Amino acid sequence: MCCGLSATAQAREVGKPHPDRPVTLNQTQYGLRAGDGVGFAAGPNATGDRVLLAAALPLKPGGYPVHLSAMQALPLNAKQSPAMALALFAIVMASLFSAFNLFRIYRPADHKAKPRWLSALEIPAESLTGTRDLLVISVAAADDPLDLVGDHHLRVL
Amino acid sequence: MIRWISSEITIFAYFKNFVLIACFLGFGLGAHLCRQPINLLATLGPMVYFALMIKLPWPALRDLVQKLTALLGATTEVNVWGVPTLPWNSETLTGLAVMLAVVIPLFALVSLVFIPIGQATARLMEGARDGILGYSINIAGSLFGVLLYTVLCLFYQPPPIWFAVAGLLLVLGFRTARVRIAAVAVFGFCLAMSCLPQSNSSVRALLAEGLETTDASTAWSALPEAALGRDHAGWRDRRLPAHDQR
Repeated sequence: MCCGLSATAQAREVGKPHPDRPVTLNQTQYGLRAGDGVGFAAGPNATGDRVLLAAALPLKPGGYPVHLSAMQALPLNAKQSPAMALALFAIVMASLFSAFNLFRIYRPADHKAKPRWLSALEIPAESLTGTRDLLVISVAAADDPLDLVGDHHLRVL
Repeated sequence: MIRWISSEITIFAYFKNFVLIACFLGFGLGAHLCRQPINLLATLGPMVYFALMIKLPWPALRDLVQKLTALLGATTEVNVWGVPTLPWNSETLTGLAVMLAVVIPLFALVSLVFIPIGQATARLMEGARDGILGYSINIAGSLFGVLLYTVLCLFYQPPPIWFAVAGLLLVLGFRTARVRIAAVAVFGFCLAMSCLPQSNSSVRALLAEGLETTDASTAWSALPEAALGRDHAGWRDRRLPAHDQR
């Protein structure tokens, strides 16, 4: 099925160049008014099984070369080539793989990851593992541990 | 990014806000994640992907990118690129599924490009002693960027120049040698790819249809893109229909 039929070189009498623009046809019905700068119009009929060609009223009787062409072939009914299927597979897989792996950069930290407040205070997490010593910092006045960054008086209990 | 993708993948010339929303989402995510380390791979990786998708001279890929518009247009009641409205059936639904399989990851990749930029911007603003002053500088920088881009458009500069300018700004903005090398490599690659002549031949063919052109060229004006062809009546300008929406 073709869509966007256009009648190029329309309204051009043999040997006479005509400046009128070709018409892109994307509906099933068109009306031509006398005086319109359109030569010929082509399009599918209501049932879609025929292509109709109409001439504008101002056209003088005579022979006119009319070239019908399809601007764009709708791919849904066309047989897709293996190369296009491969291209589709390639761009989908490449985009999915890229997006998935790049978003992993920003994934939330899991439970085993170093707590953010430890990172903010530059305390190595290893120093708190395998030992019974605990470092307790008074954070009572801080809503955000990052606010503690800076010079503070730490109370070790 | 918005203009380049919208011009080369024609469906986004109609749905221009699609790319715009992706950019805002990425920038907002970057602002939210400003305390995490900035990884420019999120920006540079998708850039390579887009350059390959848009410019790789692989005929099957070029046809596929061109037909994305028809796959979506056939299922909407909006007349897109002359694609008529078709009834909902297995074929149109399959086409829609294929289109979504391409477009949804594309949306994610566009968002990813802007996450590091949002991180850097938010980090600078958060670290500023005077927040109002920082925000004012941010707005001034935005206006300067708009002005710079307008100047590029005024002189009809094509995408390779955009990449050159953007790469230069990125190199100047980051002082790490490794980041600079990566930025130069990626933007150089994108610049080289955007110089390929097969860029938007599908768009050009679509626009030049019906014109008896003897000499065609593409001009990047302040509007997204215009394909110019010389016909019997002289130069005739047929722009993308997206211009009509402005």
